[in-house]
Amino acid sequence: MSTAAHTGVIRGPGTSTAFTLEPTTKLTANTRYQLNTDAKRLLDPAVAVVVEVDADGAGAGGYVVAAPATYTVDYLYGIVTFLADQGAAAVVRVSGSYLPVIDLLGVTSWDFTASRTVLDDTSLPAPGGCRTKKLGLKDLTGSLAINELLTLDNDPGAGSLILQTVHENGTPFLFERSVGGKRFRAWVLLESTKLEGGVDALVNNNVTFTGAARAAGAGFGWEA
Amino acid sequence: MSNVAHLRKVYVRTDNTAPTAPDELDGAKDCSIDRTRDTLDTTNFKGGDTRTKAMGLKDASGNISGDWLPADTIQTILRTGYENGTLVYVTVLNDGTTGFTYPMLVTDIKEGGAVADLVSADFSLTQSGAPTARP
Repeated sequence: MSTAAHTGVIRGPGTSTAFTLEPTTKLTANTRYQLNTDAKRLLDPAVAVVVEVDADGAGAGGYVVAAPATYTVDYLYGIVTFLADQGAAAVVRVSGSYLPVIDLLGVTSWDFTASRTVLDDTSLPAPGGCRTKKLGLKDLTGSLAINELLTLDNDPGAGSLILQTVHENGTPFLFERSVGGKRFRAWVLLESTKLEGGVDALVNNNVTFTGAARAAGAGFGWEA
Repeated sequence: MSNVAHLRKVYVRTDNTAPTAPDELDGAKDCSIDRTRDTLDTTNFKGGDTRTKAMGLKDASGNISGDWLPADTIQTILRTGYENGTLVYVTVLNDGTTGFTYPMLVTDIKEGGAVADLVSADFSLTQSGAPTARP
């Protein structure tokens, strides 16, 4: 079913908050485990994650810290994926830091384009005389239209989320689009801001952003 | 005889088998496929005063746009194809019964939403390999 855009929300990152021993739920095949608490699933990629496994669950054994080489972490949605089957009884818990997400105020429209470079790998003989290709690097661009001032602090709590400051400091910004019960999250840099507003109109800010993957985790991704 | 576009069927699968009803893409409002061939200039001194040419490699690109549907499994196939860099097989039946299945790579996904509009999705495609005639 089609989705009206006004039912959605655009969010940004709050203040990194530490958590310890957060339980997870198994998603698939004794290899994928997701943090139970939805609000803690956006992991701060600047803080190391510690993963512990209790192989026999409620049995006699206890938790053992898993070697980082034995798993990967989806920092955008709080999912740990082990390379090996952990066994049906295994339970997994995670310590690290999460980023709460904060509604951006005054957003009137948004868009983003996720792109990939096309690499031509056509070689002799070309079946059917047709080109063959592979996909290369991913990238992201997008924009926001906002009728609030960019100096507005969007964070209702003790922290601050001021887009003007994010732009000036060139700090990584977590863009979240949430609509229809599905989220898209991306690490971006705010490239430009453009202030508009004729005498008979609202003040409007156009903000453009570009994808910028962090050292850990994917640069952007859709919620499954 | 002309054909009305609303009879067009667009299907997406992860393999190159004939699509069935559950494979039909929902939410699509526009679909285009551009098929091209390279033109190779064969003009030489022995010829006359007019260029001669031959046809080279075939290629195609496409675009599907429409409403973004959060729960549609076929749109999810397109997103997964983008993320994994794997082929998706897009079948376009222009009159609802005949057409081609194109092996496509998803190169761009554009989403957008303005407060007074629907959330939109736009998928850009590039062909890799040869299409298959349907049926």
